Amino acid sequence: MKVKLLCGVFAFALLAVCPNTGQTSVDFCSNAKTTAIYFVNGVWNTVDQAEMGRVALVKAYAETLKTIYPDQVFEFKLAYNYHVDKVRDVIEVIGQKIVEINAPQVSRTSPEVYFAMYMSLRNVQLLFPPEAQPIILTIEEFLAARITAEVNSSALIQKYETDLLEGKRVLLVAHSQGNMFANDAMAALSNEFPQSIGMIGVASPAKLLYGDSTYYTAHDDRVINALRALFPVLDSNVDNDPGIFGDHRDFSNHQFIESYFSSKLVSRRLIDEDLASRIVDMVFPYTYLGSGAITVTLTWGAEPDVDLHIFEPDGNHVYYWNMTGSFGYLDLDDVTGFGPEHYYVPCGSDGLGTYQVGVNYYRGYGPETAQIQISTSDGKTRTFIQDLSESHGSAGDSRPYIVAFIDVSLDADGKRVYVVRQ
Amino acid sequence: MKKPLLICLPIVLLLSIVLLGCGFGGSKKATNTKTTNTGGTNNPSQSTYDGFGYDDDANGVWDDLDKYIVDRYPDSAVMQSALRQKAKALQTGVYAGNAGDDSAAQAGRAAISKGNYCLFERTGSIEGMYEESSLLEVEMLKGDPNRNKAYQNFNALLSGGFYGSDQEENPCE
Repeated sequence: MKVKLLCGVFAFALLAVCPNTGQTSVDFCSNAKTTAIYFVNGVWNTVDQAEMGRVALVKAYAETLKTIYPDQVFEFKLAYNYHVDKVRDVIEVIGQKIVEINAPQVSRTSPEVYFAMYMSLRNVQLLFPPEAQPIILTIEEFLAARITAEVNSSALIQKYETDLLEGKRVLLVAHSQGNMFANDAMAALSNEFPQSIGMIGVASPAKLLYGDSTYYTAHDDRVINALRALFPVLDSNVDNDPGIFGDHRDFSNHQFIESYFSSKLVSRRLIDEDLASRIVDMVFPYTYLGSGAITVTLTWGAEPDVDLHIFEPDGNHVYYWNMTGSFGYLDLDDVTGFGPEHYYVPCGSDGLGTYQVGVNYYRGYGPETAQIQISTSDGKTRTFIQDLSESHGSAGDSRPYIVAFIDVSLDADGKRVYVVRQ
Repeated sequence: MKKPLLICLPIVLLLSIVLLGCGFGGSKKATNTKTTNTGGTNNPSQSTYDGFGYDDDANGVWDDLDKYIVDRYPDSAVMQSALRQKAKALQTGVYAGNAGDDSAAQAGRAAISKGNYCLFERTGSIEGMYEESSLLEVEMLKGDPNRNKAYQNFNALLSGGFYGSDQEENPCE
């Protein structure tokens, strides 16, 4: 095993030193063993900046991995961290740190709890004197940011869990605040899939790691050092300073590409080696669920039963009572809480037209929240949240709440085009 | 009183630090930017104004960005073309954000991704792609609240999504 690891790392290092200029298309419909590599971006990233992080990973590794492992597929995806506005995004980080410090190992608070606190505060804020208003507004912002952080974390966990259940290895490359979200996912999934999910943290603001995680933080990363002055943060562990001459890092020594992933930096070499050894060591999980052109995953809270319903383009209604459709299959029906339920259409079998995705709150004793994630073979995934006030039993089966639509059509070249909409 | 203070103080401190770290253009290289105007107000003609910029030569790129691109690469038609492609993609994002159009935002993101692949191809390095792309984005947004607002909305439309596999065989148009 050690020889295999050394050979893999050596071959990878040899090939990775030269950025490839070749084009690599990813086949999301391949049956080959698949590794999903996610770039989880940090705070304040526009989609352009976050996308550049993903493209950087593609250009650094895709061709090399394809050469060394021709029988495997490597998907490079962006998990785009919610970006609301600059103030709220920073408050979100603070909120994540406070939760991390106070309750690192306990189960997470649901977004609904923060939402209830937020609404209560809004309703009573006029009772406070005017001088207290700035503090009230700050707490409101804090709670609002916590809501988005919780929703974002749960969406990430759902996506990675689906990948793992579909037999894919999952490797997270997280930068800055992305480490906080990736940490949540590792905490939730690394016990169940210890050898199949891993994380490489870059410029990590976290104070601890879960499962098979490593991190690289420069000694002179000014953003992390500033955070360290306020909160406990993992020690820095990389001397990334190239000296006075030839230092092309950004002012903060913190940005992903400029300050960590540039080919001249020590951190880049460490990330290359780490990624190469993980590709050798990580284990493909058992494939529990099918995957294909369209996959829909439903999760919810502790109430016993929420059901996934799909109306296929020809009107066929796929649900727990009719699990095989004209095009796809419901291959997992859960009746004990949390989910997931899972529907998929194999590649090449997706009929043109509109698929309607619905949920029915079948059995439970209080309000519940459903989270529906729809992935298509063009590499995109969207998450929808649906509040469910009361259960309807089998009476709701004929009229499930429609959460989203998937339009499948052909473009001028005959390629399938997917539009997922609410 | 103690708890709100505990929450407020770190927020204010961290905000100032992050503003210091990221707010000054995010890059030392930004200081190397070749100068350009930002207003798109040369020969303003109302008919070419689309709400966010003028496009007097009707090439699909706002005039202020056109000028920036030509100033930056006066002798390289190849780089000018790559940057114009990226500029059009960013503009698509602005229009999509302004309209609050989810499908248009998806198309804008795919165009931005393609533009980044093209810039990588033209500059030959990850660092080159990052520098050119970042400077162009800063150029598009600086001093224009309308573009900023629409562009922020564009990013918000895409927030929380997962994206991949947009690589084109020939990313440069």
